[in-house]
Amino acid sequence: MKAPHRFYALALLALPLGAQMASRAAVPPAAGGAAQRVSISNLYTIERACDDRLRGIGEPNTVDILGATRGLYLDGYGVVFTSEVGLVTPPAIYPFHPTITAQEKLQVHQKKLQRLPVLRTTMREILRSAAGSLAGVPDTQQIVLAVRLDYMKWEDTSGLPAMILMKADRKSALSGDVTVEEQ
Amino acid sequence: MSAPSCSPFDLKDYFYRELADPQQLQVETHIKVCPACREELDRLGQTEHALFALRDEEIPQRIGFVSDPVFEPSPWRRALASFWNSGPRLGFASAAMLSAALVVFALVRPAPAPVVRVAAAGAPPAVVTAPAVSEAAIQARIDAAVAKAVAPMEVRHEAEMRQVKADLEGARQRLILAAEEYDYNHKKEASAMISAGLYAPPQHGTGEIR
Amino acid sequence: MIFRAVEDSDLIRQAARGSVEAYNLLVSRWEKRVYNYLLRLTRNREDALDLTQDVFLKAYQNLKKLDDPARFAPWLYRIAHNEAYSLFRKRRPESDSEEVTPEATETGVSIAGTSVFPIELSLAVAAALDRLSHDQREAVVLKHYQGFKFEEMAEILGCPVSTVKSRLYTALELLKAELAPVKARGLS
Repeated sequence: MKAPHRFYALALLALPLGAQMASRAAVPPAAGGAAQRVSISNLYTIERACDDRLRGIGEPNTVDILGATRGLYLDGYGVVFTSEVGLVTPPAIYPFHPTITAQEKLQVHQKKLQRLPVLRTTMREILRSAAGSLAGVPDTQQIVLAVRLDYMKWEDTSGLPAMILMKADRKSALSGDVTVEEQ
Repeated sequence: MSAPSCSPFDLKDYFYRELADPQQLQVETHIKVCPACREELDRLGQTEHALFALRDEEIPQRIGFVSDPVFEPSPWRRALASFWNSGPRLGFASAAMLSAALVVFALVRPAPAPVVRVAAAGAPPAVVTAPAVSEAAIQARIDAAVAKAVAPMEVRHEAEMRQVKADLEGARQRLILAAEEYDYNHKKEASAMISAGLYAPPQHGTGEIR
Repeated sequence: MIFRAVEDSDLIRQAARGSVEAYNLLVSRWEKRVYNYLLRLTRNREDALDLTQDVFLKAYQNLKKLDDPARFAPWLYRIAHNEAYSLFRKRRPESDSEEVTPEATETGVSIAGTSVFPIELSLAVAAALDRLSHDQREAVVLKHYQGFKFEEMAEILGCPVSTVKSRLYTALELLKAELAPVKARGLS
């Protein structure tokens, strides 16, 4: 790699690091000067509450949690929650029902499209609620929720994202002002 | 999972018609208004229907008792009966057909015909007897006769193989579906264990950075 | 059915008086059913065939003891049941019958295209039956495949009707869970 390119590469790498250091510098000290802390049990409670709310997107036992919500506190950045969801429980395969019919595929697709807006709304609420519970996280640090959507190979995924990611700094999350990315 | 308990009598007693008439009627009335019991009965019916997928097999060897020689078939009749009931019958029939074809062909084979060659200008005409039909020609005719005889069997065999391939492909697709469902349910169950608190963190008094 | 029962009674009476021809005709009517009953119990064709021969030999030797020819079927199956369980008891010291891999008995496939069920259903049913206990499997076979009433099953198995029902109902519950699970609620 030529010297100028190497310089630019290093500069690019230094940017997020610099941003973190800047944000840390901007963090107001907590009352009494104690270091910022996020308790494990607090995170765990939020994780399970997140699971319950995601399950509640549809009628009972029709939405599946395929990856239980996990929360991770990244020092200087914030808290990231990840989860994996099956928006509609797929039809079961058994001797009298050995294949998925075209009608069922259509129904699953339509139902998922119907539940997508509900999922987005629920994710905003989860972020708001999490931001409220994570008092130890500075207002300027991020609260992130990434939900991966699971699909079977036979599914029609047109119009359906593979993942929805919502994030905001803690203060914005409390007011529901979040950034949404869908992949 | 046990049957719903809202039915006035055990649904399996109803299913097997073990209830007295008034009790059967009570259950029938209940089923009309209870989707859960109706579904339970459907499942029992499906289970019974599935059991009939297992067909009875033919007994591999007939059982016979002999104590009086008068009733015992002669050795010749026994041998003939066992031969015609066995696999070689088809092979024998094919071979018999082929042999018959050969014999018939041999009997009706035309005699070699004389060939008259037109002599070159000026030369006296001559009659030349053509040589007998060659071995290769005979073999070719036999091959053609055999091919014609086995052609219907080959057509049927090909159709059967196509059906077998189609069945196998269908089975393969169904297995893929079942495997995918298995993986899905596996993930769901693992997550359910976590959600149910089986992997809850130890309770500490003060917070810790995670 | 009534017509056939009368015919069987006649054959039984003749066979009891020593007519081998009558007995052979009787055997030809029942051998396939008894063979399949024993096949479902033993899950082994060779054992089932050997037992079937033993059953009919014993039946012939004891035919005079059958008081009521109309009870021939449960009486015959009682012999078959006893023969099967004698075999299990004989085999138990050498090997646990549960460890023996049973032969695939019926695949449900037919090249001529007359099969109604796909191969997977037949295999699923065979596997589900294999997972039942001996008693449960026998109850299912006698009720669903051989068509006996509960009272007749009690006579064959030498136990009360309540025990027969308990085994059968438990077996049906297990089979139902495997062969007819609850429909997916995701689309409801």
